[in-house]
Amino acid sequence: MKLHRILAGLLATSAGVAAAALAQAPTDPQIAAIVVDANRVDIAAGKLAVARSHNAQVKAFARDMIRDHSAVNAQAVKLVTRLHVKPEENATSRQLTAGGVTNRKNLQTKRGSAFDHAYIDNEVAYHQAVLDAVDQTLIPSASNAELKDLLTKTRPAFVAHLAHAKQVQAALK
Amino acid sequence: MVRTLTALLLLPGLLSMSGPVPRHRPGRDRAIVIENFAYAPATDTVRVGQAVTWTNRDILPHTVTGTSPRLASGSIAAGGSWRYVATRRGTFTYHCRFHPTMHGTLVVR
Repeated sequence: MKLHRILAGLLATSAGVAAAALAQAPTDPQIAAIVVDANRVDIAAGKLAVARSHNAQVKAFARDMIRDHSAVNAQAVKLVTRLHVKPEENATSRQLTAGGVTNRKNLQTKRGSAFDHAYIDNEVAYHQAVLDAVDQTLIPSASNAELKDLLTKTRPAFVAHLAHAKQVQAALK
Repeated sequence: MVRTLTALLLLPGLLSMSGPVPRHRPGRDRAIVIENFAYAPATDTVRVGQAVTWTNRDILPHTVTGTSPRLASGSIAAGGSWRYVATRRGTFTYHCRFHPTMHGTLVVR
């Protein structure tokens, strides 16, 4: 339920989508799908920002997100392949993907400074929500030690991304 | 008297043994670890001519990008390292080009 509340907050903040309940702690295959989809969502938003923003700081941040989240996903896919864990789509991963689509649709209606603010504001909310989910649900729920280790090693990236997003957000004001 | 002279002769040696020990032996590489998106130690002191090696223990690439043009590692892959020989005295700050919240300082004496 915690994960549901956290991600509901994320989706409500970033895309205005209501989340459905995740009745119990996610399994490893479900966690794998959540991780992969969470990264994909931010990569897609980053690509849109690189293409549409004219702000050097925003574009640099977006490139950093594309590089890091692509690298995390590559490692996650490599790990689950080796462990024979098949990512299993679930309500949370589907909502993440849907929220990402809604966010990008919203961003596509904006230009210039309005786009930059909307993109970065969402990045702050997104990384805070994912960080909370990692801490409160994903790491505690992961049963495979290597999956738990990957999540633990990924955590500092979310912390750094959140701090970086806040820096850019402050600079835009 | 002999005892006093002996004590006086031994005193400088005793003082040097109990005084501050040089932090780093010249010629030895200093190791800085990049882990959890931080440089450890964040501030380090080396001597001119001494080498410093940054080792990336994170799962993502990082850089060592400094105020000195020579202090520029380029991308250090996960598990990789970069070696730098300090040739000029001074205090050089550096950061990760990919993650601007990461900062370090290298003092060269």
